[in-house]
Amino acid sequence: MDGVPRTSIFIVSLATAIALISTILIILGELRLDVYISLYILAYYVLRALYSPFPRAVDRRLRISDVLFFIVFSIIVAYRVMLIIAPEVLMEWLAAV
Amino acid sequence: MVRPGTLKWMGLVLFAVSISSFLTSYFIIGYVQLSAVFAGWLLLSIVLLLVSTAGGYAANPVSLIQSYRHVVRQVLEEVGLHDINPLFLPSRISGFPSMYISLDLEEPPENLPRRLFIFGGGLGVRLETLGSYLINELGGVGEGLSSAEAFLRSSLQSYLELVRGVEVTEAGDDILVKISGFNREVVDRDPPPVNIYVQVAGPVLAESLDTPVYLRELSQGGKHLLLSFTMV
Repeated sequence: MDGVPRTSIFIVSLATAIALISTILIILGELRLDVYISLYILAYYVLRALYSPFPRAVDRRLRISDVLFFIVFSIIVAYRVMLIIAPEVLMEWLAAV
Repeated sequence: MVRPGTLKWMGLVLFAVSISSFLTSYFIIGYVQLSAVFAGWLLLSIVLLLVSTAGGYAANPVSLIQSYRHVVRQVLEEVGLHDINPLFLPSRISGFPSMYISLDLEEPPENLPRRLFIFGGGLGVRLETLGSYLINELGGVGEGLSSAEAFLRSSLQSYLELVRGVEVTEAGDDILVKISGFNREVVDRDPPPVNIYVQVAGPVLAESLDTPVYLRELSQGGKHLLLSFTMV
């Protein structure tokens, strides 16, 4: 793929990965939204590492999404951990929200 | 090629559609699988928006490099030095990492003036090449061959997007730079001093080793360029 910028290949690969993940999980009958989102984020990080290094300007911009997706991923992990170790506390928090 | 402006609008439209569809499908319809698909679109639109707003300059300035090569070739052909292998000098010797081409290269020059034409013994041409400016632009190069390799990767592969990979190895007295997946548009059977990869690798090696390096051989094999330098 000479001449095609790495950034474009990254975006196309991410779109393909997201489509594949959602198709496979829907076929499997998955009903937990956080599973879908965490796998999308995982695919993002894998492809980000695979296609690095990006041009500096793109890399600086993608750091914003790195942080944003990491926060979302951490919230999902924290939610799952809380669901296992202290479900009643979690339910109280969710009810308060 | 999609223009960055178009990409930004596509990102914005996708973001608006996906966020409204996600909220509707999750909170009103209550259909998780549909919400998951829209969440994927939302993630993609965020990436698309961020990438499309990343700077307004060309990532791969091939036409600028071609014009630069043309000028260098003209200057060197004018003085009959276009097919002489160049010597690369670190900033310690020439004030700025430079390429020096002369028929009289028995002794590496000392304290070269910062001029284009150097008279003394024979005519010499001293050029501050693309590599010299990249060293300045990207914040300098560290000591040693591993730093040189890292710098060549970040400049040629990431910054200019002109190669797929760079390897720097030591073979006896020689330093070999293997460039894979190089862009043929910016080489086009150039003689050694005009070759853009030589002009980038030379000053970087000279600066990282803090010693003059001489281009011994430039060879091309399939998708690879092999540059062989010797420390002087």
